Amino acid sequence: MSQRVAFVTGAGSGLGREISEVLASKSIKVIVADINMAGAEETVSIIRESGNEAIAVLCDVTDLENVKNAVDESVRQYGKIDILVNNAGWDKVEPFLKSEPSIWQKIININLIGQLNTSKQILPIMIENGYGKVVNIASDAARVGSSGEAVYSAAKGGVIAFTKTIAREMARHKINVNCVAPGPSNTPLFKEIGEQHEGLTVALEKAIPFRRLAQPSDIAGAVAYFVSDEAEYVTGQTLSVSGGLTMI
Amino acid sequence: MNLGLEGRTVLVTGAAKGIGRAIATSIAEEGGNIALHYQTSEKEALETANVIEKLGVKVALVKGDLASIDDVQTMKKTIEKQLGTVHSIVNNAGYAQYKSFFKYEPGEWTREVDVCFYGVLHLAHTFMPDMMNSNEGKLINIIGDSARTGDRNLIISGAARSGATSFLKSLSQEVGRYNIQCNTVSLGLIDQGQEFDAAMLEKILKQYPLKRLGNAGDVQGIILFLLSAWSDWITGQVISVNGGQSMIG
Repeated sequence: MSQRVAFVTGAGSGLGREISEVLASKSIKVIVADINMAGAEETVSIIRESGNEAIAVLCDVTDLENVKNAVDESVRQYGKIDILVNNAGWDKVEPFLKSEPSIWQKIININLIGQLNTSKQILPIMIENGYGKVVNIASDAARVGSSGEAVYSAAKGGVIAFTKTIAREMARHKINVNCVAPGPSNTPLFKEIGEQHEGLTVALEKAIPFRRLAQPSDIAGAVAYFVSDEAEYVTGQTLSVSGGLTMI
Repeated sequence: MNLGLEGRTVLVTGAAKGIGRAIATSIAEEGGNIALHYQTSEKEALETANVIEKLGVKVALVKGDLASIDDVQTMKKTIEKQLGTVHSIVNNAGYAQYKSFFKYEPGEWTREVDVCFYGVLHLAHTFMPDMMNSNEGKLINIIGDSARTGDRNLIISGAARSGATSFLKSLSQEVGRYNIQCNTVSLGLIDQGQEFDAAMLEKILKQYPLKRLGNAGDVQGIILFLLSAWSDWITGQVISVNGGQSMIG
């Protein structure tokens, strides 16, 4: 069997970088897709330093044409895509009634439409190959709500519902589609939010049974399971990785 | 991938045959020592123990009825003598009758609740204090998707297992501070050599997007994941391994 190839969005930093590193450590070639090329190149360097393969591609998930170019470039380089990890995400935390429609649109475009765009471009390649694993990063905000994240939670709720239907449509092609729902995680996004909301980290650590935020490696472990052969019979599911903060 | 199970002691209940045997064997292949529980299937338990020993790990056979707290406490003593402290538990044992509610005689449901619900309490109450002392541990309970979605012919075992799921959520909040993870694996229909006629099988598979029944390997994967350090931040969760038959939450 030739080496598997994974396309990871938002892989230029934080969680996406960690997921890329973990997949690369399992001898998977990684396409580090990001809008931030400097970050993407850094991820590629880290992976190559450990003797594994990766390339960086410019990918704005909100733009279907741009995603198509990124996917075409990936296939030119690696010949196929076996694994898609829809990780790119963004949020601005503020009360819904204070938020502006332009921000709603940005949140929905990145978090929900972005996953639709990559799925639209990459699933046909997987169907053609008769193999595919898709892991969509959702959020516990989608499962239980999160104050200040109304639109984000709606977009991520859309991701979970989209995952279920795509899992059904793709099952006949032997493509598994699942969701990982992180709880509060120690990522650049959370750091940005934490800076604006004093005491948030401490309050969350008190509420989480494991008394700490998630590290990116915690989330990457769940992604690694879903893309493994061991998870062949698992599809349409959502797994919270939350230190027990939510239990659904 | 190193799962970190080498030298760990894992109690697998209902491990004499079927899924339990497959789980115990896969843990042993990763270097884990096995406390192999059975209740009545002694011959099969011995066979499984032989297979496991050949993998170069230690195995202790423990007989007992999980419905009895005395039996579970005796199991602990037996395991400790042979293997030391139990680090993790996979509770695969269960008991279910397949019939509708009104076909039960009053009281005929007790055994299902005793095994599927109280059995989990007995295991946790007996083994978890040691895990708390050593500040680590994993408890995985296996249920059927009937407990999540309902099934008119698995009405009692489904209710008992749903109770066990709720118990594990609360327990995981209690023991999270001791770095102990408690999770539930919910299975769809697993092929264990049942003889379905072709028409029945076709009818069943219509409900399964992945168009096949589950197999032992499907269960082994999720169990190894939940026993490994890869899942250290996952607790109180329920994950279905069911070919997509149900998609909840």
